[in-house]
Amino acid sequence: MKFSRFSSLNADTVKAIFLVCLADGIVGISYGSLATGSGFPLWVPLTLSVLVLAGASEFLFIGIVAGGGSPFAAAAAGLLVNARHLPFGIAVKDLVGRNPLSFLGCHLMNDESVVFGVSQTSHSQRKAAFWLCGLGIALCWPVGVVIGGAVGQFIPDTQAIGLDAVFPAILIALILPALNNAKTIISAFSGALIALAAVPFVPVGMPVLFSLLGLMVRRNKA
Amino acid sequence: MNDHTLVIGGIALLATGTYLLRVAGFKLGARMTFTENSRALIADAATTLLLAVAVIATLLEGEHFAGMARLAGIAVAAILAWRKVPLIVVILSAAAVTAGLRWLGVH
Repeated sequence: MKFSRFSSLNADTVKAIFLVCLADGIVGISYGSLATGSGFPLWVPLTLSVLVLAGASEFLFIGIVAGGGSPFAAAAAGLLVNARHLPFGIAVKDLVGRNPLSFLGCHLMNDESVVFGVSQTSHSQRKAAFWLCGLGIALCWPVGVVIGGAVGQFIPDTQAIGLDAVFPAILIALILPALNNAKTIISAFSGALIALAAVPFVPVGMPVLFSLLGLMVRRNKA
Repeated sequence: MNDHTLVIGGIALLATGTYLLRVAGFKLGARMTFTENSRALIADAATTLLLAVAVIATLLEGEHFAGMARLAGIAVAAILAWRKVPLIVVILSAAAVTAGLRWLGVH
């Protein structure tokens, strides 16, 4: 019954989602061992992975607190990184489901689930991709953290196996079909340039939000 | 002990705030009435944000250049995706090219 909801997805998409979840799990392992290696008890990264479920902000939180920063300053920095979830929420409003399911659906929002969701053709595929990817990551990420915490000192070198290239690659591959008209291309590329230019001047997380200015460039051109 | 309380407070703040950001976007979107034009604008906003996330993650590690290996892996992946190669091949090539270059000593 449940699984039939995902049957609208084509096999390639399902395999890609599986691979992304696996990659997230491996990053989770390295996150878990990194956090416990810096002296945190396992419940800290584990609670973050379940309740925050947004990797970049969790790494930042752990990094700032491990470096002696205040947990509240670390949370504030993390929230800045996560601010993009607000516009994401607008974009996937039809995919997160209706009450009360939407309360879980909202929690499953992240770069990967959003990009898999918005890149599908039909509404049922969009919804299925968002949920499959969201649930998969919600499972793999904390499981990875627990494994990482258990194996402790053994930190898998995610860089050596090229995992850091996987996430940008999947984002680019999935938004490519949307870049099919001048307006979108102008917005997206000027947005990316503005974001890059902002990096040296504003705190982590902010540059991504600056990319939305790219939409105004488009408006002037239109 | 006091330290733990602070950490719990920080986690609670980050978790609650992040969740509220997600729900706020959803509620805001559900409340707005959409014209064809604003629908396109929101789709473009998502594409623009995701491309910015991707470009920053491609080029930078912290505030520094992330290195040629990652850039090359993602460039290969982008070309393959553009040639409509299956997504799994795209993902695996990105990792393989980046890992291969690093193994050869390119960073």
